[in-house]
Amino acid sequence: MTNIIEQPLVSYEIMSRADSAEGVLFTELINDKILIARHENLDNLVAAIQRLIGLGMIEIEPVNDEEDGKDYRLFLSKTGSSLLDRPHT
Amino acid sequence: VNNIVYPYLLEEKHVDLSGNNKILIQKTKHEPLFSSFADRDSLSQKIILEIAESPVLRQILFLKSKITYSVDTPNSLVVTYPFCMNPEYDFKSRLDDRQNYKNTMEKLEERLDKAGEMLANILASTMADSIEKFMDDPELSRLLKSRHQSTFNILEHMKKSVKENSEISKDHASKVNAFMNSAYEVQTMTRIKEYVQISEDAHKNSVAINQSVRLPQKSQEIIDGFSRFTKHVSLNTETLCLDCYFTDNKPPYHAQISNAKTIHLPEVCERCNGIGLIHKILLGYPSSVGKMLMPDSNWLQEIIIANSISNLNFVKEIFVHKKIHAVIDGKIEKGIESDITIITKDNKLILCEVTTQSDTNNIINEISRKAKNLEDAKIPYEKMIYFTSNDLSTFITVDPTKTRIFGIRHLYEIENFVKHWIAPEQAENKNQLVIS
Repeated sequence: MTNIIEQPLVSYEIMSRADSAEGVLFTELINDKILIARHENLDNLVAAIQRLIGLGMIEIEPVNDEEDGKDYRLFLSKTGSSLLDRPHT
Repeated sequence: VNNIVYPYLLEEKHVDLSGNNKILIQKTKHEPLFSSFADRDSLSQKIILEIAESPVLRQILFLKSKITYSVDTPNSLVVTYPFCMNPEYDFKSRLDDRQNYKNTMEKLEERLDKAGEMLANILASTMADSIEKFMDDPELSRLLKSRHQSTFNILEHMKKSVKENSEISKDHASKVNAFMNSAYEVQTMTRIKEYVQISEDAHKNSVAINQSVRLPQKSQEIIDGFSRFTKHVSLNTETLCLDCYFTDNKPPYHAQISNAKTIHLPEVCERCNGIGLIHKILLGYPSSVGKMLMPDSNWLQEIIIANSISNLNFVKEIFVHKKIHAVIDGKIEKGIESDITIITKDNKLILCEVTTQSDTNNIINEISRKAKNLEDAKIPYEKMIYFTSNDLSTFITVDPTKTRIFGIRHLYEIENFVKHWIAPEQAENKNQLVIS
């Protein structure tokens, strides 16, 4: 959570609405910029991804996994990057 | 309620097939998302059954649509379907063929640019006026020149002066009318442009539905389908008439209906009597169903199709979104994801893939890839069915003994078409097109 707290503008927006999955997801995104979403509680993770898309903070790209169903690669969106003052990847 | 459909699996399952073949069915990593469908009385299960049992609703789920993920609303997700009740209304062709439509479109862009510029100018002049007024303020000049004043004090003085100096506020207020007029113009022009953009999908959706539900004569069937659905989802509609603007050169008819109990989809514009009414149908799903609608996934459609064909008398069990493995001499082979896995009463394996792809070439490529993966994984399947968003008038049999592709039209009479492919002796419809 440290990274989120260090970013006051985003932390207000995200933390005021967040459940734990959203916080974890966003922390990982801030650290890695791109990640394939994994979380022990998939229900919460999907809700978190959908909310972050709704807020315009992230973009996602489906990745085909023929054996075990689709994965999603997550990116900080242009809006998300600019709020965090980071280059858009 | 049918108990032979398994969207959620508690533990892996070994299945003995005919010809001494064996397979193992396992959960995929997405399994937790399907958990609410294990409870036969859950809201999500009720919604699924409502769609699965309605020929029109299950077709609508395969139409061209746009998903909006909302934040802090009761329905976490809204799917918008563009639609028009007259399949002959093709705005794009009119725009391509008619010079007056092209001229009107150019004028629309000009008006939008002009109104946008006006808004920017009003904002810029308001800001410039404020700066000028502040610069004329001797107290502010003194504060700015003083070395000992903090930024806080300067800002406090500026705020106080805005409150006390009614000139600044009055000056800004005098521009509100011009601002509102331009903002209204931007809103109206943007809305018309948006409907122009969705008109092509509205036409394609209308043509796709018209193959099985003749429009507008049979429109009541669509209205009834949606009316049953509103028990469980929120239904909003928004309608705009492009004929008003492009044919009659008038401000267009525009109507919004929120949280309706039944759907209102007029065929003819009450203002210009034209047929250019484009509808946006917005369905808001509760989160238990909304989570199945991730971008580029067809998980919701998979459960619906599985339920739609579960009453066929040759079906023993149906597994939704699972990983299946061939088991050869006790060895578990490589797994492969299967959208719908059907085990028939004579222990044959039928696989179904579900896609909202509509482009035939993409579908054929997807089939080739899947067929190769199934071969590599040594899966002993009898037949394969593809349910797609294609507006095919007749189904396509890609491989005369293995694979058949259905389009939106076939979802209407899904049981009969599936029967015809899997158990032809029971089917009524013999319509077919074979491409080897």
